[in-house]
Amino acid sequence: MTAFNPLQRAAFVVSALMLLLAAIGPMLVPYDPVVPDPVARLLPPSTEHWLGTDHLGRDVFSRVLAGARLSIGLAVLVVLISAAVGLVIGLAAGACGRWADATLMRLTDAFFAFPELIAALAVAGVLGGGGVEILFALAVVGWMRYARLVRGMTLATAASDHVALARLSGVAPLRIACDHLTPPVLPAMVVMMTAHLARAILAISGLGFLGFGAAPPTPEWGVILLEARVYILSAPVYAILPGLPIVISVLAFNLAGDALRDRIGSVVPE
Amino acid sequence: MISYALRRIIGAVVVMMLVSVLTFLLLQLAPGDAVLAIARARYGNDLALSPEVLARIMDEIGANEPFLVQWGRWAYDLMRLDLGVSLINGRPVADILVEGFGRTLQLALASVAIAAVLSIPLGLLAGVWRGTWFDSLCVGIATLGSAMPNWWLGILLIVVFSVNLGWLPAFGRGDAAHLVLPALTLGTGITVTTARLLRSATIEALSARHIAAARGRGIGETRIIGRHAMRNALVPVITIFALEIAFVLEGAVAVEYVFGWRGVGLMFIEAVDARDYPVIQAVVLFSAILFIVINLVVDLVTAWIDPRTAAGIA
Repeated sequence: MTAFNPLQRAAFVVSALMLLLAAIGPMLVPYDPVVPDPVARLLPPSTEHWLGTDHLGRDVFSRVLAGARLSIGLAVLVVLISAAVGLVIGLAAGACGRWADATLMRLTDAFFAFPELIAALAVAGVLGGGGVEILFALAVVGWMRYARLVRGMTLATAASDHVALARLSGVAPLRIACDHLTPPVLPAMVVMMTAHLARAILAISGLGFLGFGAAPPTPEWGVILLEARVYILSAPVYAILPGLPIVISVLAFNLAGDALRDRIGSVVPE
Repeated sequence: MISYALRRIIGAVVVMMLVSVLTFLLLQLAPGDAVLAIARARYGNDLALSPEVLARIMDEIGANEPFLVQWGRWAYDLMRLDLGVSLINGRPVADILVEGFGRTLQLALASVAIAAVLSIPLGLLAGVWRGTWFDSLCVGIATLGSAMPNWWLGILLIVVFSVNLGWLPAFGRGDAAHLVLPALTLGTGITVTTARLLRSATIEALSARHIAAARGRGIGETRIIGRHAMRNALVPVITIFALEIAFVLEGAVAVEYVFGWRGVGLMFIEAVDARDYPVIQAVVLFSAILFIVINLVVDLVTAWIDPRTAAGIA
C-alpha cells in the first residue's frame, strides 16, 4: 500500500478543517456577522477586517466563517441523506429479485435524466427556497448515483455462497442486508460521498447565488456573493473574495475523493 | 444490433414517460398559496386581491379538480404539443421556449467552439506527454477549474475585462462583444471536463496492445499517435461532446444570470421566482427529454461503431 502524496495529505487536512469550520465557525467570528455598522461600509481589506466590510458595514471575514455552518453543514446533510436513500434503494434493487430491480432502476434512470441544477432549482423554488427546502431538493436529485453503485455491487454479493447459506439457515432478510450486503459497499460509498460533498457545496452556493438560499441576513457563501454582486464596480474585492472558501473546500474534497478512489481501486465512476 | 437498438429505444420511452409523471408531480409540491403567489406575480404585491380574482385563477389552472383529472389533461395537451400559456404574461409557453433556446443555443455554440479549440489539443497532448511538466500543468489547471463555480468565474472575468480593463461589456445582449465573456465562462467549464476525459481516453488508447505491437514493428511515434491511437481516442471524444450539450444547458443557467443573457436559463430562473408553473414544467421536462434522447443517440452510434458495446463485451 503506497502512502498518500503530500498534495493528497494536504487535501485531507483542509477537508477536515472545513468540516470543523462548519461545526465551530460561528464561534470563531471576530465581529458580529449579522449586525450592521453604517460607519464602516465597503471598507477594503485591512488588518482589522481581513476581507474588508460589506455594504452594511459587516465584517466579511466573520460572515464567511459563520457562513460555513450552512454552506458546508448543509452539504454534509445532503450527502448523508442521499447516501442513505441510495443505499436502501440499491440494496432493494440488488437483492429483491428481477422485478424489484427493473422497477427501481427505471425509476432511478428517470430521476437521473433531469439535469441536477435545473431540477434542484425547480424543487427548491416551487417549495419557496430556504435551508430545509434546499436540503430536500438536493437530496431528491442526489441519491441516484449511490443506488446504481450499491445495486451493482449487491447483485454480485447476493449471489455469493455465504449469502445463500445465511438465507437457507433462516437469517431474516433485514439482518442479511445489514450484516452481509451493506459492509462490502461501504468503502466505495465513502469515496462517492467525498466527491458528492464537493458537488453539494457547489450546488448549495449556486442556489444561494441565484436567490433561492438562506434568507438574509443569515450568512451563506452563495448568498454573500449574491449581495456583493451589486457592488462589482465600487468594491470588486468584496464581489470576489467570499468565493475563495468555495473554491478551496471544493478543491480539497475533490482531491481527497480522488485519493481515496485510487486507494480502494476504481470501482466508483468519476 | 437491431434487438439491442429496440431494447434501448423501448427503455428510453419508458423513462420518458416516468420523467413526465415526475415533472407533473413537481407541481404537487407547491404549497397551498400557489394561487395567491400567481396573483401577486401578476397584479403586484400592494393590490388588495379580491376573492373573485383568486377564484378565477384557481379555475384557470384547474387547482380545484381531482389530481388524476389534472394529470390526464396535462398529458393529453402535452402529446398534442400544447404546452399552455405563461401564468404571468399569457404568452404561449412554446413561444417562450423557442425564443429562450435560440439565444441559449448561440451561447452554447460559441462555448463549445471555444472548448473544442482548447480541450482537444490540450487533452491529447497531456495524454501523449503523460507525466511531463506540461501534463502536470494541464491537470493542475483542470483540477482548479473544476472546483470553481462558473458564476464566480464569470464575476472574476467581469472584474478583470470589464471593470479594470474596460475592454468588453459585462451585461446584456447586443453585438458580438457581448457574447465573449459569457461564452468564455461557459466554455472554460466545458474545456476543463472535456480535457480531463480526453487525457484519460488518450492514455487508454496508447496503452492498447496493438500500439505496443506497432512500436515493436519500429513504427515512428508520430505515426503511432496519428494513425493508431487517435482513432480509438476519438470515439470517446464524440461521446463526450454529445453529452456536453446537456451540461451546457445546465451550466448556462447561472452564466446567463450573471451576464444578463436572456436565454432559456435566465427565463427559467425568472419563471421559478414568479412560480410560473407551465414554464417551469416545460423547461424541466424538455431538458430531461433532451438528455434522454442525446444519451440514446450516443449509445446507438457507439454500438454501431463498436459492436462490442451492444454485445456487452467492452
